[in-house]
Amino acid sequence: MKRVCLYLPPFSGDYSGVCSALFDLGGMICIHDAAGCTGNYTHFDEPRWYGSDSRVFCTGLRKLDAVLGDDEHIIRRIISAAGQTNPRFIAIVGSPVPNVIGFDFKGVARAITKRTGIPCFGFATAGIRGSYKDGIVMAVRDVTEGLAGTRATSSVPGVVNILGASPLDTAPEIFDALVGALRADGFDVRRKTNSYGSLDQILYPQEAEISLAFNQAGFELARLFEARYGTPYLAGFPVGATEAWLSSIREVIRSGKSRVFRTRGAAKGARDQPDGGEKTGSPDGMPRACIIGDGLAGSAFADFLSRRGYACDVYTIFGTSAGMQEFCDGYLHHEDAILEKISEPYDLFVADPLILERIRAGRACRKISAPVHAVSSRAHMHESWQMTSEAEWDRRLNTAAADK
Amino acid sequence: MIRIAIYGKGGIGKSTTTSNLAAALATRFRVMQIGCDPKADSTRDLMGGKRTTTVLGAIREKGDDVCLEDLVSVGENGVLCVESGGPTPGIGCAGLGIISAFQKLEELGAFDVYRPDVVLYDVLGDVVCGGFAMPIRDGYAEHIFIVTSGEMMSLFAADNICRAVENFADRGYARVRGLILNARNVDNERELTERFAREHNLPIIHMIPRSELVQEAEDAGRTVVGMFPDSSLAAAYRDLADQMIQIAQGGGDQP
Ligand SMILES: Nc1ncnc2c1ncn2[C@@H]1O[C@H](COP(=O)(O)OP(=O)(O)OP(=O)(O)O)[C@@H](O)[C@H]1O
Ligand SMILES: [Mg+2]
Repeated sequence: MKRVCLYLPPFSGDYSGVCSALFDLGGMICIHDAAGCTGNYTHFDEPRWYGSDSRVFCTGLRKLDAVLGDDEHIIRRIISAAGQTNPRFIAIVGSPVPNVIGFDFKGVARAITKRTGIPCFGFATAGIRGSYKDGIVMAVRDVTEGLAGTRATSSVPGVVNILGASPLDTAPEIFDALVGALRADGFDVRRKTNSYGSLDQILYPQEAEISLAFNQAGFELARLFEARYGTPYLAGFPVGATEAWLSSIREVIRSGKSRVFRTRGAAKGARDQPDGGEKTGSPDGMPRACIIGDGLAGSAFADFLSRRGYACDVYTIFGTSAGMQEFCDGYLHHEDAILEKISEPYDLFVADPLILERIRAGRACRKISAPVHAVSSRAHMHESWQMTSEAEWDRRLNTAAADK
Repeated sequence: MIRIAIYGKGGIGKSTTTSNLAAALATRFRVMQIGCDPKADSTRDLMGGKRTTTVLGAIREKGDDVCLEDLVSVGENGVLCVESGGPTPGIGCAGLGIISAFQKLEELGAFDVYRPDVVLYDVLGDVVCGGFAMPIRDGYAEHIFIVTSGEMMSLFAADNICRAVENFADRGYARVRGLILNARNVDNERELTERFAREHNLPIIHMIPRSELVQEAEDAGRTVVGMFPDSSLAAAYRDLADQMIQIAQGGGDQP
């Protein structure tokens, strides 16, 4: 029963990750389902959906299509829609039913490519395993591999490639602030206005001098791109400390050595404290903070909080990433693990408001709400705030203290 | 890695032929045989007649704790034996079973861990639903060989398999590379099969004669290649194995 969610909503699934990563790249996205997953994605997981003209379609899978395996019907529909919209690429994204009947996403994608000449990608997602993070990674990985051109063989000075960023975990104001800082410093961020990605970075990945990751999906992709294109990466974003971050970027470009961004060397974890976990506060008087969400974003918050004297533990709830022990203390696999973690004696919790709500009433601890779209979706999206700003954090630390 | 799927009418001798092929190839290669049949009897002649744990059986028993050692057994001549398994007849969904078993093997990285040179998929009877086409999808087998006799129903089934594969031509699936004639000693067997082969532009890779040695070895839970290595039948299986490998490596006739 461990996979059952009693108190928290299920987090955005892999299919939403795929769609989110490809949302504004000029492709046509076809979710192969009866309409449920498409509805989930467009209504709850994609804040950019309303008012956008992005082409996200539902194949309208029906019982008889499933029973008879009538792939041809779906292929024809996709091809006819493509004829009208002329997309740069087509993505067929899976949902539970096609997976149950063994729909061959890659094979059908190949058939569509063959018949239309438009590159088509199949993703056997189902929203059952993993999270949106895995969807972002598979989408960017496959589409880059399939579309990458060879305009340049070496990197172009100043070009940075922000990988895997998505409104599912990085709110627009955070993303905009970071891109703004990069541009002000003269970096070339390949990105259209109001968009998280651009086809350019996918078409010409070799042109980037560095990959930047703001979330675990980005971190996984950055490692992949390092292996594939030799591009070094800097993982993590700054809270305040923008100058330090920018100079770390220049440093990584110069040295070619990838790393996780931190202002204070290796941050001291709450669990590293002698006697940690038993009582509030640590022997050397450092208050303890627990940050729950995306592991890499959490480590950025931890870096700031450690400058404010906190010993921090960071837990991801979206799945593990190879190499994440560098910035994250563990993966809370299911709801029970999350509930257990928030019952531990920390002095401060930073998490999505839906998680903070589960903290036992009357507990003497501070809480800072950090809404994540993949968790609370539209329910708390208006409470999003500028999490890259020290002043904003300080203000919340102070109010949180007053609440205590 | 060479990946081959063996198809053919029910009861025609797919499992017998595949096991003998595996035993023959195992003297030169690291071979894995994957039985894709809820009956889970593909590898019985390699396993001393014993039934091995099936992938789905292990998943049912151990859930997420399943590991590769639960799924892969070492049989005659060191052949790595896997049975996908499936539901009890009459319930459940066998096709989905094959899909789930394949997903599990992939998730556990079976090929990365065991690094077989040759993988043989022994697939049940006719391709009845999506699940049974799984072994010939992109990423699995690249070459299909059809076991048939000269009997009408067997050739009819072979024709159906060729059509199914033809339907998938633009999906990058495996291609049919040839026929294995497993003789039933019907009248004009050779001629009938040859005519079918011509019509489908496929070579008959080899004729395996009908022989009592098969039953004898089967009763002992062994392959002919393992039990009667000096027999002409074993030589026929070895010969067949050589030719299939040659075709798979691009040396044989391209259909
Ligand atoms: N060359 C042969 N000579 C004599 N008997 C044979 C020969 N090949 C197969 N047989 C016998 O035919 C029977 C069916 O063979 P086998 O189980 O290999 O068929 P199959 O195609 O795998 O069947 P299924 O479709 O049920 O999986 C077995 O009892 C086997 O001993
Ligand atoms: Mg059989």
